[in-house]
Amino acid sequence: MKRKAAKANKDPESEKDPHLRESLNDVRFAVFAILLRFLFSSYLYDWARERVELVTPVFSYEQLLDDLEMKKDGLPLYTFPHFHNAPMMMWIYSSVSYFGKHSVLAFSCLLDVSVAWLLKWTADAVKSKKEGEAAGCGRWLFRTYLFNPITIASCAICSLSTLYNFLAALSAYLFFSGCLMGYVVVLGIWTSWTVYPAILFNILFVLDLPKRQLGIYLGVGLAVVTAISSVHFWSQGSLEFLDSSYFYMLTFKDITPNVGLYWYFFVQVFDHFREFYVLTFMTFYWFVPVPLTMSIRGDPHLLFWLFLLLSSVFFPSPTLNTATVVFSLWPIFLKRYGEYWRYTLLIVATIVTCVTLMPVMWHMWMVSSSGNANFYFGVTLTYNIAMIYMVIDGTFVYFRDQTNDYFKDWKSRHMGFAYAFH
Amino acid sequence: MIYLLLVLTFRIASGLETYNERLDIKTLEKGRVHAKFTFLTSKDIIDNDFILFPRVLDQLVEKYNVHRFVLTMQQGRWRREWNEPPQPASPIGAQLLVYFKTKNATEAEKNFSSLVEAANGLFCTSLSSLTVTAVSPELPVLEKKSFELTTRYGIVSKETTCTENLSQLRKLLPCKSSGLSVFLHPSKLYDSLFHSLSVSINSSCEEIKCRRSIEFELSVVFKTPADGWLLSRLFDSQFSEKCSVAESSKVTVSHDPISDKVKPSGKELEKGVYEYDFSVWTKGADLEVETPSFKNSSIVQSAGIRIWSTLGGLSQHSGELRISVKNLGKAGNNVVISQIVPYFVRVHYNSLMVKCRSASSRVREKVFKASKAPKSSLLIQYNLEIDETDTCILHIPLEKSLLRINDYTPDANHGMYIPGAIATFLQIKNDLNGGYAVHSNAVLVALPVPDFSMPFNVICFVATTLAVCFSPIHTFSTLWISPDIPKSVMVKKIYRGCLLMLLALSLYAHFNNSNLHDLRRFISAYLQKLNELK
Repeated sequence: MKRKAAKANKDPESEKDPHLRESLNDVRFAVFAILLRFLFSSYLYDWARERVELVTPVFSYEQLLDDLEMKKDGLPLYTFPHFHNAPMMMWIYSSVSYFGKHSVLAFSCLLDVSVAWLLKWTADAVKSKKEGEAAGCGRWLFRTYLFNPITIASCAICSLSTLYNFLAALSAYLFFSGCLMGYVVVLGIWTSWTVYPAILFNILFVLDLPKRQLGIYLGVGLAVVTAISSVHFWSQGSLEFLDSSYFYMLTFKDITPNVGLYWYFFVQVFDHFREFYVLTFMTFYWFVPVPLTMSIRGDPHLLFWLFLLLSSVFFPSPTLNTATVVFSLWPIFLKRYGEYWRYTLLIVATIVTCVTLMPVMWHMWMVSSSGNANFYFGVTLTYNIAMIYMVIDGTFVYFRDQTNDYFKDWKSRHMGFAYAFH
Repeated sequence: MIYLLLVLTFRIASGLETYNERLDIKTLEKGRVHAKFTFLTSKDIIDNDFILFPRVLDQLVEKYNVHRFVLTMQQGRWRREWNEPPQPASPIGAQLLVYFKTKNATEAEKNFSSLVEAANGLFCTSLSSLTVTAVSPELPVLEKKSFELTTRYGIVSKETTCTENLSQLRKLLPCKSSGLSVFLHPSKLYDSLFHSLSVSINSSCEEIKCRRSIEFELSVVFKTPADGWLLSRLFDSQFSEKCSVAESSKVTVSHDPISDKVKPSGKELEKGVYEYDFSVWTKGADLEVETPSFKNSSIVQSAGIRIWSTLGGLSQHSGELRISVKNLGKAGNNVVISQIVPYFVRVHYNSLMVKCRSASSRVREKVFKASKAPKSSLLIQYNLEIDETDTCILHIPLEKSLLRINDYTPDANHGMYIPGAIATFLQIKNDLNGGYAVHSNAVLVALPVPDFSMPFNVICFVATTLAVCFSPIHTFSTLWISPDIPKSVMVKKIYRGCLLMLLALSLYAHFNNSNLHDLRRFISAYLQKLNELK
């Protein structure tokens, strides 16, 4: 009754101010989302934590708990072959879990809700820059992120990917709102955790910054990475963390089943070709941003989104949750490049199908033994191909958009969808 | 020749080198007879002549700086009703325990690898996997540990023991075809319920006199007729002549003094135990034991502990290893449980648990130890204090990992073995001659397996996916995109028309339930008709 009364009191006020009304609405959604996460955590925790699609060695909370416990018992962590956590994560989560198990869940929920808000602000930042574009998009970004079942499940099992998403959303917001200093600092922190987002530094090159400023930004980014690494080094007293966290990711050592591209490949590949393929894949990942940076110079936002996408597709131990920020930011570009997107339906349908099929295939492989590893691998491969089609389509729309600028006078003619590369 | 004989007699008489052989035979239950051979050779360390003592073993021990070396091989299960198993306790498969006279762990590790390979050559075993899977226990395993030494310990669960191991050991004995070693007849020894073979090499010092000794032990449980057994029938061989270099050569027979008849009767050591001196045994003479009314209930239970392992969990992904320990109260309360966890399962440290029924049972000490080396094992040790007649369960939640295709054993779907746990007593209440340990059963784990048949396909698929990603990016960034005016619309229309026709045709065929064979049959019939028309 009291709440109703409060609502009734506030209603006329909020009618006056649509801004306030919307943010109140947001708060309501956020509270509901948090409730949903707590409910999920209390009823489906055991089911969700067994899901390999949501838990990988890098993002596993259970693993982190094990590591914290071992650290507490004074065991030499780096002798354990399953230890892959960056020391930074250990500090953050040991200080959070100091207040008990539920504090970690609360922390995750807080992160998740702030991701949603950051995404909303990101969309708003785009709107304010280019008039009329992406209007009303932010609200939907906010809701789709908060009520995405993947984010709910990941948050409920306190997966570290929530923190990953927070860093992604924070850097997106800082970049889209033009706060480049903050952007490089966040990127530095993020890079010193999962390495792969380092390609996001490339965007600085397309911003037409004065050379001095560019140097400063890059220097700050590098300084943050070095600072964190050296703090790690000083606290551990050895360089062993490099091997167990960074090289583990860079050399594709992770062969536990996940939704990535590489795990099954490195299970199957012949021993004497392993080094070759590791080098090939590494070169591939670190080289792909170069042509993209050189050619997509007109739209740094799109480039940011593409790099975010690349870093979540080609990460060796990704979870479904590492791509949710990318999905949530997609509407901005869907709106910006409207009709040029070719495979939207195909991509969305494939991803939805794959995500639903993953637990089924997993069950068939692991539990009922009615299928084999290829079933699960097939689904993850298709999921990755769908993501890669997002990259392809994202690149395409930019060039297609540019054609319109170049061939304005052709526009009057009926051209349909015919185009060619010359 | 005479000189040699004289030297030999002198050496034996002065105790520079000694050799003792012994055979203990005991009825375990109705129709189950346990025979235990013990061949003990020892010599002074400073002495450099090797007449009885196998020089090759001495060199092995000297070179790798070994203080104590225990190798056991076992086949068949030691049943709980038979009371405590022969010591050193052995798991099914092979087991190696080595104490090095060094505190340097890396040096010990290096020596251990070489020692394993050398032992493989000497005893015809295949223990090479131990070079990576062996662990360095911190709490005692199998027996009380002297703490200045570095220990390496490992189990190979799948190793089988066979005639070749026995013949290798026989070669190292001073008397190969006389004395008690005539009974080492493989055809009988391996046709048994239980077979355990152990080699222990020891260096021990009393004041300034240091001795090195080798003890070969062979325990066999035979299936015999319920009413008794004959010595010659038991081993399928006859005693021929005494071993002249043996200091003693004894056979003891334990029996029920009331109901059993032993012919001939020997020197009575204690009630129900006859001892025979086989250095004066006549050639061809036999020993006969009749057990017409042996009752299983007459066996006194004296085992101190029961331990067994089980694996829980439905899927090939996760599970829980449970080690149950029941203290039967005959050998004290203080037990060390050691479990070697191989590399292919991952243990959740946070949820390791010991649950006991009684509240006063507790964990005294816990060891959790791993090594960074690839494929090395994890060691979990618990020093427990278990109340008498209490049962404690050690829960080890684990995750089975997917391995690289080359790391699977040939029959991958069979699964892989987690070695059994070892329960070691630290303080023995009853006198059980030093150490007392029991092994639990090894556990078979069904690991998740990849599809072995298609590595090429997987490589192709993943590489193609990467190419699918890269090629458009390459195209977009190197070429211009421009509007294209289609030149010929006609060709395209015809092409599309053909496709549509094909589609319609196939749909028609599908809904008429016609298949290719029908079609072919129809065509051939039609052709035939045409022919007939001609």
